[in-house]
Amino acid sequence: MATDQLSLTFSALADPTRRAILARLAEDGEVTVNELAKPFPLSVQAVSKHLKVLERAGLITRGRTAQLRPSRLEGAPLLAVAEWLEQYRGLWEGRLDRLATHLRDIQRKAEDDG
Amino acid sequence: MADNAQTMSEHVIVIERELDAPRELVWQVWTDPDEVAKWWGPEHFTTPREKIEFDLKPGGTCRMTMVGPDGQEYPDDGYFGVVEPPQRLSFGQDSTPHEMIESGETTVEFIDLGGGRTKVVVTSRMVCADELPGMARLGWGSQLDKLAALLAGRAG
Repeated sequence: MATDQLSLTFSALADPTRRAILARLAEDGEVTVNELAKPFPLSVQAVSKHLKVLERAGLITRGRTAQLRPSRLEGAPLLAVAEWLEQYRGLWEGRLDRLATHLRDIQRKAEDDG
Repeated sequence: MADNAQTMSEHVIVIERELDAPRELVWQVWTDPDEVAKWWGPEHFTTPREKIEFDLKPGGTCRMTMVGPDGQEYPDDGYFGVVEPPQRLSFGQDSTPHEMIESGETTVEFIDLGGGRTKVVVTSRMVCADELPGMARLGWGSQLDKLAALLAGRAG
């Protein structure tokens, strides 16, 4: 996944209300904006704005039913976050592999030259 | 819930590796930009020599740009923390491009095993939002739900 997409996901996740919305969707499947707004001290309009950010980041999709447009969670961008966290260890393992190879090569070369 | 403050916490990974090379050489290969350019990577990436700038002292610049297979550049702008040749080195960044990840600091210990062998212990600390690993798990949960639905459809 492109870095830009990952940045988009990270910035969408940076807000606690949006994280709570995603957690709710993970639990309940499809939820309408009115239902989503209930637990928050926020207007339906404010929740709608958050949903727009989540939709742009590909974290949710919304139904086409005219008024209700229930939201549902899309897991793929979150999987990319999981991958990113796990990749960090892999990055270091690969780096140390190359360090070991490089050390072997320069020592072999020094032996040949000497 | 409308509060934007995030709780951050440390996530630490520790990786050890034994190397068939004397400690002084491992230190040199890790701290000399000419050598670093030859192995830093990561895989399929290059870290060109002209894009590495080291000022090897506590608080000194530690700047390098990795170049991806598609030519995209990933600059890493940081500083050295501990510089104790040939046994300890640390480096870190003040900030990262991602809002939920605050900073990272890596310490490398070079342990002399005798007989021309060295063990390196890399401890990498990442300060990231508490919720990040939880959100990553939500992604897995949602994928597994889809799988369950798919399988249920097949069964029915």
